[in-house]
Amino acid sequence: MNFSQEAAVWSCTSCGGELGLIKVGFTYMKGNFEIDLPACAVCGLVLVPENLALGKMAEVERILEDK
Amino acid sequence: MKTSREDKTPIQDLSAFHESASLRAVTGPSLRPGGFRLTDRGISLGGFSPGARILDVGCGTGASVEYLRRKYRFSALGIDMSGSLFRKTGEADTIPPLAVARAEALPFTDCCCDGVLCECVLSLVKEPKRAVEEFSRVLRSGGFLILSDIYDRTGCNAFPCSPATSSGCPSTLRSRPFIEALLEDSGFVLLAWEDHTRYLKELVAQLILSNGSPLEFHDLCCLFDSGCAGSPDLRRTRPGYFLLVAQKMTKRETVHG
Repeated sequence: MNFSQEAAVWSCTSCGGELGLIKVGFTYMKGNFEIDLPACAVCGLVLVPENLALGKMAEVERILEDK
Repeated sequence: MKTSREDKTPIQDLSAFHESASLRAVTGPSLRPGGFRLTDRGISLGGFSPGARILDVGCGTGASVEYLRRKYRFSALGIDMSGSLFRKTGEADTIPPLAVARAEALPFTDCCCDGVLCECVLSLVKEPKRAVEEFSRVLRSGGFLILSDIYDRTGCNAFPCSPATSSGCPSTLRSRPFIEALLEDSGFVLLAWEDHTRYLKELVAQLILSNGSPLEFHDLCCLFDSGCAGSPDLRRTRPGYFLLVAQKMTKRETVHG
């Protein structure tokens, strides 16, 4: 399931709003990144999908660590 | 039938990736780690006068040529072995001067440039020794070379080879000593060497975050042993990214060398 599909099946628990994809900037291990993630169109809460947290971020961490 | 991929070393496979939309979506038109931040850094370490003639070798889209002309008012021009990324539309006076040519055979007269810029390109060149000799040839005495590229931070080539045999070297993730020897052999003196590996790591990490499938940048991920089943040669290295500035020695320095 890609992030766009994730946005379609989830709704915001905080305000009940629908989710849409927005560009989210974040810093991790001194690196600056951007990624399109599902976020609430009403209150702005961001959904971090499991495959990102446990999958892609693990790859990112492996690359960023200074081996 | 031998394929073009079989002719290339693992790093040279990346040349096709340079022209991909996936890379441009992440880097923008600069197509390299660090983007214009490292271009600015290199320019600041050199000693260019206004209107300096700067040659961008491996200019890709021509973005750096446009940048140098716009920001620094340099008389910048570029060459690339592929013209597929050249901008061909727009007002005639805004299209930068670009040409298709190889780094190993620059179509310019001797001593005609004040500076040569070569960013994230030399590792893709089949004959780096010849290319660096060409850089020296087209630079005037005292001219500056700004070079940035991927390198092996372990300090020794996975397959050690001297600059004289570099055309047959199986590993093109080269070490700092190898690169410095290339420069010295072509009459350059090294003014500055800086490590900017964090930009390379950021680029690779951003590609993973931005793309659904890693297949398109398989070899680039394998530089960092990110779980891809890539070249064993690359997995033995410690990849990094450097920026250096070197100066072509004057004849007096050569005589008294």
